[in-house]
Amino acid sequence: MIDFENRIIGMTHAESSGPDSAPFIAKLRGRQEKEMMRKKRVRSGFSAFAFIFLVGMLTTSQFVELPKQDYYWSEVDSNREYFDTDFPIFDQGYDTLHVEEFTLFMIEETGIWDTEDLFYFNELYENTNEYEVSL
Amino acid sequence: MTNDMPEDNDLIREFQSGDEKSFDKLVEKHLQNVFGFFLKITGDKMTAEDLAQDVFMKLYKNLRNFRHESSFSTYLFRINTNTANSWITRNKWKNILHLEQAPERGELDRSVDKEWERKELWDGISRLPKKQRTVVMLRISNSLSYKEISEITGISEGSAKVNYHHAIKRLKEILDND
Repeated sequence: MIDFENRIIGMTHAESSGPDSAPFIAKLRGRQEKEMMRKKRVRSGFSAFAFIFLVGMLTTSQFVELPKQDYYWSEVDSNREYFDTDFPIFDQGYDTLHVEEFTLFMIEETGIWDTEDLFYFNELYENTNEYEVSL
Repeated sequence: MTNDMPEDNDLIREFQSGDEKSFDKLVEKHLQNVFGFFLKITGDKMTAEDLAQDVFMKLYKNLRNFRHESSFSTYLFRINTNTANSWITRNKWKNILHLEQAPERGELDRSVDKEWERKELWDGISRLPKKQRTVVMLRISNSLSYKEISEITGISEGSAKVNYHHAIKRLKEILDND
């Protein structure tokens, strides 16, 4: 048994000078720095996640049913509400109204004065012409 | 394990109070021993240096909590054996594969033959139970006494002897069969 012990002790015998301490320590410092950076990254990642989670939670908690007047048009369910205007007469029969009638209605009721002027001046011009021709 | 120079404890205290340079001095002081321990196990300078780096990284992380209840050399040996055990377990399969690729004995020159024997030995050690493996590792790599081994591993002196005896018997069987 002792011979065998000596044999295995001989097998593990290794003669070699160790590494220089200065580069070894420099390498060790580099690894420590890397490790610290990794820890820092994990910590800041975690903080960022916690912050986003918190903001998300605060935002979600503020979601309440909005009053009707604040609805966006895209959120309105019925067409009826979408086509509602400030003109009650028009609103009552909008679905049966012809498009041209609607255009005329808009010209008459809104401030598109240029269009109206065109009609008016054209008529005036024609009348004047007819009058001048007749002279 | 009582041959600690008082300097170790002083350096540790200085490091614990924030002096980083003391750690470098500690590394400088113990580097050759730690490197030598791993060189005997791995037989490779690069691997031994990497493992020594691992040991000092672990030491750096944990030294601030060192309470001076045991001697520093015992503490360092514990880190060494744990690191070596992890490395041996990690390389178990790698070693087995290397052995399967062994060339014919007649083709080997003496140095390669010696290197091969060393690999066979550590492959055998890796097959031992952890306690036996640790005792053998400390005994054959550092020629430590059973008393020192019992201090490092936390088992009784008698138990260290029994574990060593069983380990050697088992190793003999493994190596003779191979």
